[in-house]
Amino acid sequence: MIQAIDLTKRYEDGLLALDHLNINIQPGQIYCLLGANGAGKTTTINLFFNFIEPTSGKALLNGKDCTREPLEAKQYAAYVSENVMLYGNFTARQNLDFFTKLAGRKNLSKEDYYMVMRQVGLPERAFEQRVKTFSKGMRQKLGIAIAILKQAPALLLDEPTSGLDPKAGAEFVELLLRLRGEGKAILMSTHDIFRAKEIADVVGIMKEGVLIMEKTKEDLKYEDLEKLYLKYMEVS
Amino acid sequence: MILHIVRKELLVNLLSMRFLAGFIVSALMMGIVGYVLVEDYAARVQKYLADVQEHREALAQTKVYSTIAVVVDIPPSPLSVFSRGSQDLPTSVLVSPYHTPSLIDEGGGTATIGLSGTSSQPGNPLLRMFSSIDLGFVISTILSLFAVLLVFDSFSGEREQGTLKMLLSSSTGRVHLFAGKFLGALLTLAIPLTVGFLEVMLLWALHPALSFGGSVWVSTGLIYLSSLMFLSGFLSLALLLSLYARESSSCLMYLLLGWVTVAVVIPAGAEFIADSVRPRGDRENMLSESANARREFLKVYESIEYRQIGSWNNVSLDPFAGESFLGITQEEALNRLAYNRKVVPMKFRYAEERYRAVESYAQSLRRWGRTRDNLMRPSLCVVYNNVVKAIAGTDIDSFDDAVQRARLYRGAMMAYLEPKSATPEWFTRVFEYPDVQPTESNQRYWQSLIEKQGERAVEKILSWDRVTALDLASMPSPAVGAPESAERAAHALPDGVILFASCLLFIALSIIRVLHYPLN
Repeated sequence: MIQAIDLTKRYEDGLLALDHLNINIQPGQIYCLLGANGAGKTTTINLFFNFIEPTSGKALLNGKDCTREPLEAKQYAAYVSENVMLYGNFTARQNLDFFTKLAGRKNLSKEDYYMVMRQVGLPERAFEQRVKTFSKGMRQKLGIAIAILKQAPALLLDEPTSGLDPKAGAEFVELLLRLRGEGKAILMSTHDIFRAKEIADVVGIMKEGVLIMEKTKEDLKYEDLEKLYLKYMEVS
Repeated sequence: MILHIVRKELLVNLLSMRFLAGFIVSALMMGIVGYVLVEDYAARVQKYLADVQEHREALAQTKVYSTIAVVVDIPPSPLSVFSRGSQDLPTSVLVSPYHTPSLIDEGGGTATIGLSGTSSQPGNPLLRMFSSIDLGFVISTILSLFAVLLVFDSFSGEREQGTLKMLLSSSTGRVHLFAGKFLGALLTLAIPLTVGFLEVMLLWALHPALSFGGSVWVSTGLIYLSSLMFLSGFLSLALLLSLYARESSSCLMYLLLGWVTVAVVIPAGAEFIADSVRPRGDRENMLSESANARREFLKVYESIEYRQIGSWNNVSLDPFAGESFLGITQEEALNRLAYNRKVVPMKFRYAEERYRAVESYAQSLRRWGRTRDNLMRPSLCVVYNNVVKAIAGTDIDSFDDAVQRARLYRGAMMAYLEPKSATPEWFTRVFEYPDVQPTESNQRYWQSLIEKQGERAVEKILSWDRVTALDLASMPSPAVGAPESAERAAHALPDGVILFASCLLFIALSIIRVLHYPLN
């Protein structure tokens, strides 16, 4: 569902942000990308949404090339950023309405929007509240609600739990697990090693644009991911 | 897809403080300026109608052909509310056998202006920029600034906030996103623009002294469309810069600099540059040529011997204009007629020579004006104002056309008058009123009348008031009026094409940029 084949990105200033990345995420699988700042995690997600163009290689969503057929490819994926930013003067429902219509979903009723907002754990009073009054956790949940309503089979999340309080973080993880249960393929970049170990089916560690380690949940069953991460980070 | 983005942009804009502030300022400005200019137009219409009546009555009172002077009044344009045009344009053109109308008149007629479409005193061009506040000015400055403030952070701001990634993570194409943003902003700007136009139309409709034909409404529609095109140009330019700026604040700074350049610096600077690229004609030279022609004419005029054989009184003589003799003997009138056969054609020729001297100066000013206009054309504001001026019929070309038509009319008038110059009615009516002749018997009679009834009785006999006016029914009538709306639209076409092409260019450049807009 989410596939990178020799995906490489070198920026105009010469920085090699991503070097021949190969990953393949199946439906019902959560893939956590770990790595320090500047390791290439965000670049990877940016390439899947064609926010930037790859230098070489391919990013595929459901087999569609994200560079050659970006609009078709993006139909299969939803995006949640580290800091979901929406239109502050719009209410939560108006934001949902706008983004789901952009995703091509029409004829959704007010109740449909309310149902999804309940599903992601937004309090009822927030449904018709302007988003500029929302906390970060509420905005992240609304971002997930948009992703759910898009009904995309793949979900790409760029450090979605960073800055969330423990309760909000736990609720967020619960949501992801539910989505995995529905068969979504999920790629999540994160700094949170413990959370990654908790939910990931596959963990990848990136360093200076290179995927230096990839292990499945089974591989990690008897290993300490934190130690492993620190070990890989120390290796020059 | 585009419609959703348009709707969102419209909503975001309408809910913003900047829209509220911009809307209030522009609606107020357009309302106030509209009210002042509609009142001003109504006053000018009253003056025009009074002038037409006065000039018609004066012409109907003409007693001899040589004093015929047709003053052609130019009606004020109802669309002057959108563009007042050059402030120093005259409202009438004099047509007479001794005066050929020209765009520049060195004092021979009522049409006395300094320069084609420019101030006669170079002075400070910055002051000239703001000398004419009309709706065109409000739209080209206030609304263009509003456009800049509305979209300066359209892309850079959304990128900073992070909403741009959310937008582009959906199946929205980048071109669709640009189109949606552009149309949303244009619709937002169309609100104050439409309100401004409605204010003017309401003022027109409510004014008791004003009523307009269909062509005014068509031209108003054209000005509205041109205004939308102008605002589109500004919006697409602002969006283009927003696509290049890394930060909204720097984008705003660049755009404000650009706005000052386009709205103030280029129009003001062009006049200075035009002066160095193509110097204006020398007015002193024109006046000197004109004075030479006058001297030459007088020399020849005075060399023609005139032997008076009879007497005259109540006479008006001017070598540069018509002449009228009431108290002249028929014998002397015939003698004068023979003299006139030599002198009158000379006077007609002198009028042409004087016109040529003036027209050569006018041509040099037209060339200078064209150079200046071309130098100004990189400014969208100037191009837009040119379009509005041309559609409103208040540009220098429309006035030039009116003068040109007056000149053509003079040709027809001269064809009618030249045969008349060989008749006594050219200068006298003594053959119809022989009792005004200063003959010995008449003078004896006047003396006795003075003794009996006083001097007033004789004055009555020798007054032009008792002479019936000439029948001028067969004289061609002037057909000088405001140009038709189609003609005005044709005048506006070159600048309209520039406006449209600029708009397309900025949109095309923005689309190219948006396709490669980095979101890292």
